[in-house]
Amino acid sequence: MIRVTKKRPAYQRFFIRGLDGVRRHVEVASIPIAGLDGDFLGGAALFWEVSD
Amino acid sequence: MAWTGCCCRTIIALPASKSGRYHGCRGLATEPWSRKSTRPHFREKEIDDAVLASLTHQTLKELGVAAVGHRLRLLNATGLVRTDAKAKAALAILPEFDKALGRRKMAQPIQIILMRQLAGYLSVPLFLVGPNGDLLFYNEPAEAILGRRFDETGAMSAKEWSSAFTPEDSEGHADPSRGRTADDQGH
Repeated sequence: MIRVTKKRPAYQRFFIRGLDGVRRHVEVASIPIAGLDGDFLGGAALFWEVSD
Repeated sequence: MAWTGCCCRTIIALPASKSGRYHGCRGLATEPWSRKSTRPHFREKEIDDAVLASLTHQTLKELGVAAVGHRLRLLNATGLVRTDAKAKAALAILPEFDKALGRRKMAQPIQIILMRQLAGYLSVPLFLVGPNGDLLFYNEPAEAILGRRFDETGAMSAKEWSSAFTPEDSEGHADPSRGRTADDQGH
């Protein structure tokens, strides 16, 4: 999936097969999470299913 | 941004609301500036949009806003509540609380804890990872797309979740472009 650990925002659209075996078309936007001192704490990815 | 006067005889810039009136303290809304000769106005002091957000009680005092109530109203009116400073102060005091209460250091940074809590209140699917890429949490809307409840999967290492939720291209092959950042894609 999008490399949230690259400490950069990212956006991508792709298909994903869930653990239920269903393939879904999704869009993902991820952002790094940094503290007030700029320390990298992780990332959050918002995603949603694309209605083709 | 528009300039207006306050009951404390100060000129200040405020964003105009949709109705055309000014946000702000009662004085800002009801008493237009009229005492031109005595005003310690902000424009002369080069207080513009760029520095507006940096105004504090001290700077307002130096600009001639003597009354604490007026300063508070002005700061509140312009949305200048120093959230950054407050957040920093709150974070700085947390270890002291922990120490006082004899608690161990929190397992995760407060920002991650709050983000996780926020995710629980969103209808947008959200996936949260730690600094090393380990999956920390995904919310209920995300469960519908990922095909399993978070209660069942729990936290996963980066290796585990990246192989469990494999991105594919439209043909069903592993997507070679995965992992690109916005920079990589020229955005």
